[in-house]
Amino acid sequence: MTSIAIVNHERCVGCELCTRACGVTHAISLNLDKNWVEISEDLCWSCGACEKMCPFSAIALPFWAEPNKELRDTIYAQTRKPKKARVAVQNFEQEEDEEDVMAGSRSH
Amino acid sequence: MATPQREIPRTSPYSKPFYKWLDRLAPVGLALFMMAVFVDYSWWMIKSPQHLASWRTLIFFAIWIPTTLFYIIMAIKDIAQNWNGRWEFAGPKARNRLADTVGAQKAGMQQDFFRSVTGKRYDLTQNAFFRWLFHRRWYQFAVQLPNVIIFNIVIIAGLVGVVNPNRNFATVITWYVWFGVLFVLMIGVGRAWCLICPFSAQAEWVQRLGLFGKGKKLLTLGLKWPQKYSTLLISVFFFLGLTWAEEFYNVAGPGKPAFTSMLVAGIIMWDLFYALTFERRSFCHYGCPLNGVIGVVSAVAPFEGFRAKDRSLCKTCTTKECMRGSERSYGCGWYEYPGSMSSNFYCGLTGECFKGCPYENIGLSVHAPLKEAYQPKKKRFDLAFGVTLMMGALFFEILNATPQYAGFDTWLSHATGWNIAAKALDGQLSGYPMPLDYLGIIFLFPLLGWLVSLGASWISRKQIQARELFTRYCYGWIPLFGLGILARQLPKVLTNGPTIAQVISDPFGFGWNMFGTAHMHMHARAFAYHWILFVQLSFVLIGGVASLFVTQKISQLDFQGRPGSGAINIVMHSTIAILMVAMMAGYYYIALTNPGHPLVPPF
Ligand code: SF4
Ligand code: SF4
Ligand code: SF4
Ligand code: SF4
Repeated sequence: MTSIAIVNHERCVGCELCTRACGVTHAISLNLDKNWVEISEDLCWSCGACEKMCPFSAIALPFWAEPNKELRDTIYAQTRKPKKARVAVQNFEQEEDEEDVMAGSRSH
Repeated sequence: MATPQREIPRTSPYSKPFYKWLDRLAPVGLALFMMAVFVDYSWWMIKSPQHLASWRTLIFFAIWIPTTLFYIIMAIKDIAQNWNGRWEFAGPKARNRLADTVGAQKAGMQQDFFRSVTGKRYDLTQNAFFRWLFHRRWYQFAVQLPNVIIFNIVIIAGLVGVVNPNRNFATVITWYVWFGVLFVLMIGVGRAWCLICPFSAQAEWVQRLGLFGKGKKLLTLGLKWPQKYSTLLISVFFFLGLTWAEEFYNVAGPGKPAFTSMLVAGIIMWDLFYALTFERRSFCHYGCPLNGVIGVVSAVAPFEGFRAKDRSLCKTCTTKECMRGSERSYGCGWYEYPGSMSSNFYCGLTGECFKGCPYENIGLSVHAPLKEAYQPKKKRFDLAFGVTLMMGALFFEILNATPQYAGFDTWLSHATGWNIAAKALDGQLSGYPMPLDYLGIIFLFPLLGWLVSLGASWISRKQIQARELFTRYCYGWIPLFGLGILARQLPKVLTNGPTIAQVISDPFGFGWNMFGTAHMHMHARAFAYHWILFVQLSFVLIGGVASLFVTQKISQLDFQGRPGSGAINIVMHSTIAILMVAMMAGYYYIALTNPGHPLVPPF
């Protein structure tokens, strides 16, 4: 039984708020043809952030899902340098920033 | 109440004293109007001596006083909050610079999804008056209130009024006037009925604890509607059930007004239950029996609904006030996101997103009719299936007027023993309509659609799935269904509609004369024009031609260049033509086989 977030295709309107909420592992992406979001099974660690964010409750975790912290850490280790090394990898950080802008998450 | 004065923007684009006072006094005027109706009705009630202190009077006041009090108290609260311009719009924020780069790029990636076919369109919100109006918190309330009053009188009239349906406000308004107006609104504007719907209005007022203000607390459990049951088909099945019950108990007509009253009160209670249990307007999506019909037929209308003017800007908007609500507005109750809307199917025209968007990025455009039916790239299978089911229900309504059907139905009832069950259920004596043949006729149409799609899929050598063909081409049935069902309502509306002159002056049949029109002898059937049949036939013809047009457009937009598309196009056109001819023949045959019926042709 899958325990990742499930998208309700009837109600998802492709606003991408959940995409931004899923900031740690970036498991959500917009399907450009259908205008609904899709979730990568390999990346979703069932944290539930998207569920909280979605204004129309179009995305939800099954009630039995538990946050899979191991998965998160594995993904995190692959995609980001550890925190203390951040200063050293200035270039990388900038790239990250641009990516964030693409996702429009620069609200601060 | 918001205390800090500084929250109130000083630079509102609508701060001219005239507008400011209009904003303050319009709700006051509405509240006074409500009071006036209350006083007027109470006065007439007290004045009719034979009924005073009877159960009729008691029921009247038992419903009349609490509801009116509720509205007045709520109104006072909202008017007080509105007085200091608390919900005034501060003027649009500066456009996000990223919209022209990142936003445009992202919107460009979805060009195919957001395809918009060319043609003239006019955005109403370019006009300063409409912008001002849509920014008012009371914009929706102003049109809801009269309707709520009317339907409260319907409930009361059905319970206490005379049994003669043609002298009772409940039957006349609901079945002779409302049912006609409803379809005209759908075809003309879209979900305009939903904008003024009195059922959801009252449920929503309770849910929001206010009539038109924007409060912070909601009175609802706010549960999510389960994902599994998120489909339009629920509404369609409620529609089929209601149509059946309406025939079985002969509510519409003209039957006992009390049934009408119970039906209306039942819908309000059902709606209230949804509003208190689920979030937003879950009722409108998953409970309202009319949702499917209204949504589908709205596609004919020339209004596209409130929709983002510039999608690139939405792509960079992180706050999404349109969906989530703001200080000034609630988030969209209809689960719509103006930034990606591609059809007017689910926009209830509430204008909340218009108030919410800080960039004033919402418009309300008028364009050529029918566009909403073929333009959306995203077409839904459940909607297509719903259209075919409702087409089935329409054909049932046509067939049930023929003597052959009556004979068959009675025979089937007897053969299956249904007439005994019907007796126990206190329905029509003959057991009409027998559920089996009712459903049988209805399901013929999805079957027809599916068989045609299978055939078409075969023509394309299975290159195109039958499901896709069914989904896309059944949108083409919409105009025929919309105008066909309007045609079905016509005889009832046109022949009985004039009785409204009497009932507005004498709603309960007690011999009142509120507007001096009680003695205008506009009998039922006074307007029995023999040309109704020809109006009906021309409506069906217009609907059919519109359907052919939409089918042509769907072929062009969705299937051009795909294997077998030419032949499939011809097959789909023929299906529509056959449906249209069958419907016209049906209407003609009804007129022919009912001698003395107002539909009999003049030769
Ligand atoms: S937040 Fe909800 S509606 Fe928006 S894209 Fe995500 S799942 Fe869809
Ligand atoms: S549950 Fe967490 S990880 Fe999974 S899609 Fe939602 S936000 Fe992303
Ligand atoms: S319409 Fe909605 S998403 Fe678009 S800019 Fe306005 S608030 Fe943002
Ligand atoms: S899209 Fe806007 S106008 Fe339409 S129902 Fe939603 S909030 Fe109301």
